[in-house]
Amino acid sequence: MSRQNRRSANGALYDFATDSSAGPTDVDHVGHQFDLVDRQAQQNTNPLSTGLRLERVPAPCVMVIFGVSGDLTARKLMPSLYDLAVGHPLPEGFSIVGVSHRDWNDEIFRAEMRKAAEEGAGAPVTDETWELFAQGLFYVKGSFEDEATYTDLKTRLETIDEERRAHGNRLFYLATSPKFYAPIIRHLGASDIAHRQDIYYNRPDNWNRIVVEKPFGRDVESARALNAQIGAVFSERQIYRIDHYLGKETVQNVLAFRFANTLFEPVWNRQYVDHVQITVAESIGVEGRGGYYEDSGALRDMVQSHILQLLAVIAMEPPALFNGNALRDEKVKVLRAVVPPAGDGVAAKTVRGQYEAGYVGGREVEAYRDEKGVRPGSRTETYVALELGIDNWRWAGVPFYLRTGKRLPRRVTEIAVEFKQVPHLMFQSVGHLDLSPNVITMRIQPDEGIALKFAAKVPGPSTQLRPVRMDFLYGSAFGEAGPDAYERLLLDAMLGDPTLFARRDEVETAWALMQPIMDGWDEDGQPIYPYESGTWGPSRADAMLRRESREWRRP
Amino acid sequence: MSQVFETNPVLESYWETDTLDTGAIHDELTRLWTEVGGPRHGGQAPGEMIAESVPGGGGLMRANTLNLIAVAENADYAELITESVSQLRDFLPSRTVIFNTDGCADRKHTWHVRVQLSEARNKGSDSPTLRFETITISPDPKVAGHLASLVSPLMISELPTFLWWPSGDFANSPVFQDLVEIVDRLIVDSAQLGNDARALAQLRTLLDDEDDPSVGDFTWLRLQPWRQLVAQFFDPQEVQPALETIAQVNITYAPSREDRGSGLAAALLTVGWLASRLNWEILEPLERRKSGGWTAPLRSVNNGSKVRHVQVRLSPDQSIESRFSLRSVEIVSIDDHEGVFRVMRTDKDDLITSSETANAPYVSRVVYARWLSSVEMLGEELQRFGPDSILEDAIRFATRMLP
Repeated sequence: MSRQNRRSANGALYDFATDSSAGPTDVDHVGHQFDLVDRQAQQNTNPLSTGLRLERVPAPCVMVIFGVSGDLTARKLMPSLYDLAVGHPLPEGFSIVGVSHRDWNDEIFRAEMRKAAEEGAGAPVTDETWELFAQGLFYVKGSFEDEATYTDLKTRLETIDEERRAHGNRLFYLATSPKFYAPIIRHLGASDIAHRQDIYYNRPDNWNRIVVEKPFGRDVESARALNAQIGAVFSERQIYRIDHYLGKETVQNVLAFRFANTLFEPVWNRQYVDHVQITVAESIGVEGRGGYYEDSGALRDMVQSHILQLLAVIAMEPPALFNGNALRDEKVKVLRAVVPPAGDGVAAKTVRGQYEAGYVGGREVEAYRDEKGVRPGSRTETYVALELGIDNWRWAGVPFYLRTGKRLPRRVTEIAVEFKQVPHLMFQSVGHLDLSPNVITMRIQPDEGIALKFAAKVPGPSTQLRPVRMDFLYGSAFGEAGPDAYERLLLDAMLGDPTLFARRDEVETAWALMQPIMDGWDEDGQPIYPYESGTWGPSRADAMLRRESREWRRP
Repeated sequence: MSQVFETNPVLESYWETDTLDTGAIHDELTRLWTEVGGPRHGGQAPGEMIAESVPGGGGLMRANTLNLIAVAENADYAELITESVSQLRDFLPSRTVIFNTDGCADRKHTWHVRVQLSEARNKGSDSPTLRFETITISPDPKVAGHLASLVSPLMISELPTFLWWPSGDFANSPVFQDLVEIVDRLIVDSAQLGNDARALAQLRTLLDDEDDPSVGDFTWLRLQPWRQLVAQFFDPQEVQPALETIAQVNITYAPSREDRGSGLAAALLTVGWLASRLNWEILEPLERRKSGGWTAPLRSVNNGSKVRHVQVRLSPDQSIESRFSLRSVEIVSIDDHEGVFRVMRTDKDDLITSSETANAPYVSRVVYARWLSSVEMLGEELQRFGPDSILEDAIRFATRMLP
């Protein structure tokens, strides 16, 4: 596939480079030399912290959560923050200010958050622990678009600085609908609550950072617009785009598997690899979020973010260091080498589907179009399968097949690297041989682990070969899982470690890869193939691989 | 979310003999794995290289992690070891060899051997079942000082080997001296050394020999939240100068009770940690106080600046909250950077911290830091490899303070 394929059917050229209109201080996301500055900033000068398991403890700060009355705060943020606070990675004086339009006050806010912690936190919630934790919880009521909200917020933050020694450190968290991102950021800047800090800012006090939840836009243009809006107030070094997939232990384990072992890297290339399959399957439907899903669909919701992140970690070159920019530079490099289908290729190399009624796990489930909040004639895809190529020395000619869907038979996320057949089979003279190729499978969820399929001789006088699977289950070696992904990522944001967050150019490149596909679907009116709930997607997706004499795995 | 684990022996063999052949133990293990891989136990077929089952059937290779040797000098420790190993969750040894050196006078044969395959299943979860091997040997007392030659061929090759010695009496044991030569890491509990401060010196001897294994200590592990919280007081840069004006360190600890466990080692390690991190020197060795406990004058010299005296007071505390460890740590700084920093255990689950300095108001918080069980501490220690230089420095300093 040539580079020209990056041009869409309507002739638009998708420029993967960073928006040149960004200010000069936004060059901070290139080159890991800046991480040297970062590491010095993160180094704790306290001699007592040496050798402690939590050597890096964040400075006291205030976390300001916009949209605090929403589902994300109750399900994820508050349980994680409570666990971090009582598990003592967070310092004394850590405070949370919730901002929302709800008619709450500090007391109601604390009571609501206690319910959330009791529901989702790992550590027990007792009166004593809660009381002291709740002393750091404050609430500001107001509309995100009203200037008065920010006046109140500023006053509150100044009081907290004095009373709880927060030293002017602020972590803003956008847990709202994306439509509020722009006004919140604009007001934070205008009201002098947030300040732009350049890449050399390494003081432990008065730092400002912002965490942004996905979706980071809904196409290239909106992603760039959003980045420009955030960039008008915060420099790239202050922005933490959260994709909780990257906080998962097993995604990080993929990096360890590839780059901490010499065994696999020599065969991790076009010479030995036939193709790669990445599957992110869900057994659930839209679960009452039909309204949201109608505006996103599987491509925007899963492929652009989670699946491309998985592709990047599986296909990238070895970074020089495991730190913020070195790792993200390599991810961006490989994403820029990805060749998405465009023009006529969209119909040939992509399949979109939508679930119909069926049975999942023995339970009868309704069709997508019958779900609450979904338009009757909806053309939103709940399933996507696509083939991508990577135009670089390592992967040229190796197809990467990606698929994701809702209401598939089981919840599973895995990456399978299928190797080529041996060049010459010396056992042919002994008759029928069932020899399938070697496969390395990395399962992200559930049953996290790594499996290797290879051929072995069946014991006996005759030469019979059969495939066997050697399976390393993460849980069988290390028992219980590590901290929740949100805990890890919140702590990293407070510490100022951006390694596991998406960078501006990474997000824009990912959208640029999806844009020709979205354009192709819009322009060609490509059909949406229905599939029965509880099956592995539309048969059209099977046909797409069959054309190339391959088949989807049944994970 | 709570996890309910259920651990059961799946298959086991027991025999008594007058001459122990390690090859027989290997053969028995192979036989048990073959049997457990068969259809009756969820595997595919006997004879296959199958060692672990997953929900839905099918055989899988085990992930081997480490070898553990544990020595029980009496029946109580034998029970503690067996229970702890069977309840491990975070990091299971693939093979555990337990020596029960408590001589049984009435036995007919000199060696008793039990080989078990056990499995731990997380009820209510579809995570994999963990299977592990335990070999329990009551050795011939005549060869007690030569167990290394027996256990070496029983270890799974390529894996690190840990020795867990849960009782306090190890320095004079011939079994210990023999086994410590072949392991990579030693796990002890210095709280078990009792109320005699000089007993801590036993640990020091291990650190001085480069060939000896690295050391892990349950007492040090119990101090982890204490160290974390004390260190956090001084994370803000404006508070760090208070480290240079510390004048008093007051620690209350659990004195030895009937079960011999004492918090004195924890108190000494805390002082050793502070002193070694902050470059303090010893003016006089520890001295017994008439009211109980110990005291010692130290001095701090920082960058050639003014020499300051630091008075250390270790006081016994009879309350139940201090069990085997500390009840409270108080650090008092004076002069330009005046401040009082306290960590105190309020109950078995929580520590409370408070600090007050001239420039900042009183702040307090409760931290969830419950007492750890032996199982949890063993699980933690098994995840640690290599030397812990901070612990080693703390032990060295603490033992230099001994009278």
